[in-house]
Amino acid sequence: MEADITPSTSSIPSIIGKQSILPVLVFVIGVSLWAQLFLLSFGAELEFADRRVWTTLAYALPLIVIVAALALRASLLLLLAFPLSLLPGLVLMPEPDQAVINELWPLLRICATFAIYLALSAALRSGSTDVPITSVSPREKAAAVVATLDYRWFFGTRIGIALFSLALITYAIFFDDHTLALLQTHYAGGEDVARSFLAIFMFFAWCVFVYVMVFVPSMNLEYDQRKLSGSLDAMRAKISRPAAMMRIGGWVTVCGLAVFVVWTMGGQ
Amino acid sequence: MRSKIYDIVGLGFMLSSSYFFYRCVEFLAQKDYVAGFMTLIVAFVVVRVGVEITKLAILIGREG
Repeated sequence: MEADITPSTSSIPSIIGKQSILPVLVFVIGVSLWAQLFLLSFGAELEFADRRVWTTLAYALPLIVIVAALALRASLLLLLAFPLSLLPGLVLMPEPDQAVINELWPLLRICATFAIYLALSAALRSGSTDVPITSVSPREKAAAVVATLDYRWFFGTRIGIALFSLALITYAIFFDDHTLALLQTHYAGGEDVARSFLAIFMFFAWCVFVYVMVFVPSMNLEYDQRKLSGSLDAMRAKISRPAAMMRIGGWVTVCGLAVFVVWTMGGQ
Repeated sequence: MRSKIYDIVGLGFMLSSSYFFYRCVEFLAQKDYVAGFMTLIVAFVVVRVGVEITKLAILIGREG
């Protein structure tokens, strides 16, 4: 099973062509996601005479993040900071507004919009990569064939862990007696809304988790390997083995001290 | 062999992040949002470490 890893230059103009429309699409879908989640609550908040500053800021934060992310073309902001910036607003949203977005169809619409947003943002990122287009040496080609053979293990384990995490989160929210008891204690009378809110929140978190764990490493496998190999070679040339061992020892000591301090402070 | 060990350690990190997701749900169910966010950040950091270690595993496998 040999993959054709010869760089294709014919796709470059089409990627560049996409750059003009993709940011606009990402912006539109991102704002649409924001509107589905916060527009009603944000509008209501603005109508109040006595506005809650932190809540209003939490609602507006995703808009600021997406504009900044698109202006800077920062993939980390687009794919990680934007989804995370939605979470404070969700947490501070009043329960009646949470109940509105917890209906089946709005929920499905939000999830679908979020999935489209992630796909478009990832496409934008892949088009703006700074990977140099160079010819592939026979040694690298041979190494890539080995990597191709490892793909089943690579994807199988990661997809397995992602599905396990999803199952664990679903169990924790909907079936775990301990969590259900906590919800009944702390959200008396609104357990269903609280459970739905937790489900949305954790689904967002899980999407980011899958993106960080599966999507990015899979898309950048070859580039990451070259980059890591280059970094290690540069480090080997710069730092002698005793100095490297001292540095590792120093970090292990710092970590040990941090664990000790947390432990003595009563952390678990 | 060394590559397999790195790979298993990296996957162990990724798998262990599930524990932090569970604790995050637990904290949020107690309305302890700060602890929930912090636990979530820890979960992502643990995943990130796992990803970096598995990168090393692949590199070692290729070089070896």
